[in-house]
Amino acid sequence: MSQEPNAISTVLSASVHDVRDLAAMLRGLSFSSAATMSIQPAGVEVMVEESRCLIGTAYISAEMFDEFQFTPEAPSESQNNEVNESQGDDLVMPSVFEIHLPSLTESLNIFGTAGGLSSAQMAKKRWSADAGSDDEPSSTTTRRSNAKIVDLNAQGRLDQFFQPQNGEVKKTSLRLSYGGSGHPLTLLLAEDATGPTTTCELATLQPEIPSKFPYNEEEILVWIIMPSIGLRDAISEFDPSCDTLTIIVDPNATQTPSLPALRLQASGVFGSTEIEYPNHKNVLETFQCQERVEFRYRLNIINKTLRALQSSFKTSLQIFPDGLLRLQFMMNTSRSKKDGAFIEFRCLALDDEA
Amino acid sequence: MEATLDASSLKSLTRALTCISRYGDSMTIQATSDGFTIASANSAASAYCRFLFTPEFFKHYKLQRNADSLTFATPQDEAIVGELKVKGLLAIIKPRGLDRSVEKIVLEIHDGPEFEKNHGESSTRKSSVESKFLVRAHCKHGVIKTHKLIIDVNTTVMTPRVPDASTESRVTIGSEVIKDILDHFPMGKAMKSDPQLIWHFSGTDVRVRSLEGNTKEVNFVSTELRIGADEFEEYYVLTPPITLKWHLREFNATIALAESINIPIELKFTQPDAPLSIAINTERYESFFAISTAAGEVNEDPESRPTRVGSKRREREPEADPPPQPVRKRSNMVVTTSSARSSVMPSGSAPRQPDPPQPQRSPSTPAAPGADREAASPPFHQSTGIFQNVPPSSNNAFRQPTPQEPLFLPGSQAPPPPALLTQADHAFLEQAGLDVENADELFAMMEDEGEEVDIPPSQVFKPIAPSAQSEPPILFQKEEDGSSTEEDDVEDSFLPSTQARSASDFRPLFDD
Repeated sequence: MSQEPNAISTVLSASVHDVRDLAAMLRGLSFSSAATMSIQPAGVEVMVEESRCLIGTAYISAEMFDEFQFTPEAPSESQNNEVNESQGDDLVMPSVFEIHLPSLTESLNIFGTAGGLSSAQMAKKRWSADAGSDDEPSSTTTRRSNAKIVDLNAQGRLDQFFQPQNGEVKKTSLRLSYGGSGHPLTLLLAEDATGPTTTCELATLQPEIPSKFPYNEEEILVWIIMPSIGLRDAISEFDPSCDTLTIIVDPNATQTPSLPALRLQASGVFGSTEIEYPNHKNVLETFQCQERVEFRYRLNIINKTLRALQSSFKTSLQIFPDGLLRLQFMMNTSRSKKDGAFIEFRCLALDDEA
Repeated sequence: MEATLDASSLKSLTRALTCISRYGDSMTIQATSDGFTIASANSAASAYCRFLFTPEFFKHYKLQRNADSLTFATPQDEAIVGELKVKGLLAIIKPRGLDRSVEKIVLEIHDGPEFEKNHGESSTRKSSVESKFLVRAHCKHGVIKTHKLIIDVNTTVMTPRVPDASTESRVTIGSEVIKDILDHFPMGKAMKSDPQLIWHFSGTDVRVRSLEGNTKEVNFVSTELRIGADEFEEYYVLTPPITLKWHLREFNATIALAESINIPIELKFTQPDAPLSIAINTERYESFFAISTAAGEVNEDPESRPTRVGSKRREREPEADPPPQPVRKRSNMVVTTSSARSSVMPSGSAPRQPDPPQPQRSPSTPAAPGADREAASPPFHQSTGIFQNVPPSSNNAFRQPTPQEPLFLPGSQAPPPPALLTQADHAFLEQAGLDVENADELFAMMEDEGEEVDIPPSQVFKPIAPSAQSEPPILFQKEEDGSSTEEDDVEDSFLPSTQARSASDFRPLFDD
């Protein structure tokens, strides 16, 4: 799986021996089918958009790949004009194209070893997270043991202990290549050296003009860093019938510890749910806020981030003027360098005056 | 009310709620100084269950009534009554048991205005007069998760009619044993299927048989089990043999609860058509279940059709003939309609043809002896009569909301004496744009208005109130004023006769 047919004209040539981290990140964005992929020297950016008020971007750094070689395309004016504008006059022109995201994630999981989440596995994730475990690699399973996993899950999180005895966990290896504008994105997938290999070619499309929610780092109102479990529990707690989520941040809590520093409220037809976080080191690792801030968001939009939130371990929550919410999820990766991969969401607030 | 739960009581509460959710969609909640009561009945009002959690059940239990409560219109009573969606509460409570970070859970009931006072410091909480049921989970590091459920105000409360203890038969059986028995009678796969079993209690053994009715299943297997009386921990049948049949859905829910806490269950029954009552009392809470029964038929004739045998202890039993009358599924559609109409309309304004006059009967008498019977009335309509209306002001600890209960119609509205309108009256009314034929209609219209404006729905049931108030809690005792034959006479015609007597102008739901 090392040879590449036309390696000479390849814009991207990257390989990774285990696609699970990659697949986990892409699944975090799987609420939308059209994704804009931008290949840059530092890595790959995958961006999706929802209802014109949520942008999700996965930053897959080059370090996540075992090999990452990016050769910029020769700029062909007609195709790269937009890219030119959007990226500014960088020295290196990124290759931007649109792909069908579900096809990509399904291709990655073609051997069933990309850690695709069946519902049972989702449940297990919740279990293991309740135990405070971030032990992602051991909880990812092979398709062949799926039946067993389901049974074990019925009894709780025992499967964590049984998993190593199932033998070696199978991994899907990937070689990713892109031949430049107009070429398909080619995935060469193999489970092991002796087994079968699969070549998937995904059509690439002209990217649409992306929405941009600009913000000024200087004007930041709130900056909170917290473990993802805390936020995930809160968001999954809200009843789906609730329509709005109110985020209230109150700096007075730093003086009076009894007051909650961060409050999430959701109200619906049948009642309301409110989660209060005190300014405690174990709850909110960083808390920066000057004045009381209250913004409302659509809960079903916020819920789109849940998938990414579930596979992350740390969350940075920032609020800018006009309520722009910027959520960054540090992803669990098997690499030691954990800050190599994160997913960022930007969400617009509901206009209260409207 | 404010009550604090620890982990073990949370588990018990979850189990109780799981059981109650299989009875009904919504439940009455009631907080008194005796404890916290939740109760529910199924939509056909043929099964009822109730749990009483004493103050000792909780780590902390405080009852505090708000003086200017708007929503609970029972100022003289310390009780707080309301109605909650079971699923909503269960969805909140259930995951808490798995969540290790939860340190304690506080249940609170807030009347609207009080709620605002308590949280006046916060400008973000919008004011509301709705009563709320709060589940507040205190997690580690001071994280607080608060769920608020809106309480529906409900003032119509009913409790099952419980037969006299002296006529009761009692059998006690281990929950696992009865589970084994029931395992031989599979529940239908369809969601709505709700099979019945026929239980034949004789002096020495019990025979349980699946009911052949108008089942549409192709490969219907009829099963009969015989269980010796020695399988029971206590076996006391007053007048054997007694043959009863009842539906399994709620019964199974009860058994599942008993099995989960591994407690034998005690079945009490008197005769067909009187409710089967089950009590599961643990140290932690009291519970009570009532399931309506109907007469079952036992055919002793041996027949050649094959039967399935449950266990080696149980002998093969010949299968019985199909019961002579088709068993319809419980349907509450008619029932609902009737109660909705009747609870709003006073008797004088009934648009239908009046029935032949019926003697006005004591409100607490369940049925008129000798009332017109309908052989074809579905067994579970007739046997829905396990409820009794109790006004919310009574101190009865247990109440039950069944607004669609057909058996308790506003008997209070005694038909006004027929009066004639004078010519002048007619002229006046015509001027006023009212087209009324007689004074009855006029009164009815006026009464209608009055009801809408200031009579709480509970008071529609007024005539029952005096008797209920003057008596001690009526829950577990037979009615005093019922005639001795009433229990025997409530069978087939129960529904129609009740309809008839509640307001003499109502037609029964089922035409003769």
